[in-house]
Amino acid sequence: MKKRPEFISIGIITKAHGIKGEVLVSSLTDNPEQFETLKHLFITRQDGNRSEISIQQVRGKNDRFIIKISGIDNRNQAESLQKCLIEKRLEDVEDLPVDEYYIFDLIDLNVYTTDFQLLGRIKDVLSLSANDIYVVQGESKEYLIPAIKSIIKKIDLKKEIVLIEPIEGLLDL
Amino acid sequence: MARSIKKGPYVDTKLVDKILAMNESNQKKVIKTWARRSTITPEFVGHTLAVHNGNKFFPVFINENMVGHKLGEFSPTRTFRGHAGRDKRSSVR
Repeated sequence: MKKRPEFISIGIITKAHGIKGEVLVSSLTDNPEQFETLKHLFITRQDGNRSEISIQQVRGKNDRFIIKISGIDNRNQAESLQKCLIEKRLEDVEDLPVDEYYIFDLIDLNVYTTDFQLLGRIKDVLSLSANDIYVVQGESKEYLIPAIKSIIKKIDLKKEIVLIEPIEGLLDL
Repeated sequence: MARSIKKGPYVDTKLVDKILAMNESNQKKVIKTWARRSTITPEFVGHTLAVHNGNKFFPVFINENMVGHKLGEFSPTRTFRGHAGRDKRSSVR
């Protein structure tokens, strides 16, 4: 079975804010409330060092937050955290409703057509306003498959397969 | 300046003809189009159009909420690929 990542990035520190050690964070998650609710968060520095942090205060909204981290009390310390990632453990990942999947779970799944012809592997997932698109890397070309129920017939994360029923012209794009 | 109401919405006639033909024959296939400026009309609903973004054709499934918008709104010309390992979700709609 495919190995899931041990830590999942939920934010990136973009810059220091003010002189009291606060930092500005850009959210990398669809559920930004977890900055306040999660007990165990980690910070990964650019050299790969990872350490546990506790967050004292969170303010802001949408995709940008100002966060106060315990032990970071002045601007110099805050500036040293620039471009560091804020991560959570894989165990803290919440379960999703039916027909929703984490992108890191979808990457590298094999895509088959309903007549069991291997199309390729999912290389990327594009989140567009209309529908998500799975970028499938085949042997000779790249396929763009829209994530809609009339085409995606089955996603089996355990068997690592996605079964699709392409409509006429979809594989010729 | 907004388009005159007198003219009505701009819809690509070649595209509409193809869609009406498919609706009559109850057929579903992907139509490639470069007509990003074309307004989406109710006849388009339920079809999948491959809208060109200058580089690739992005398959766009048309639903009721898109009526009145332009096709180009759903095929972005700049794509931010983002950071690896992030906590983002994808849904099958």
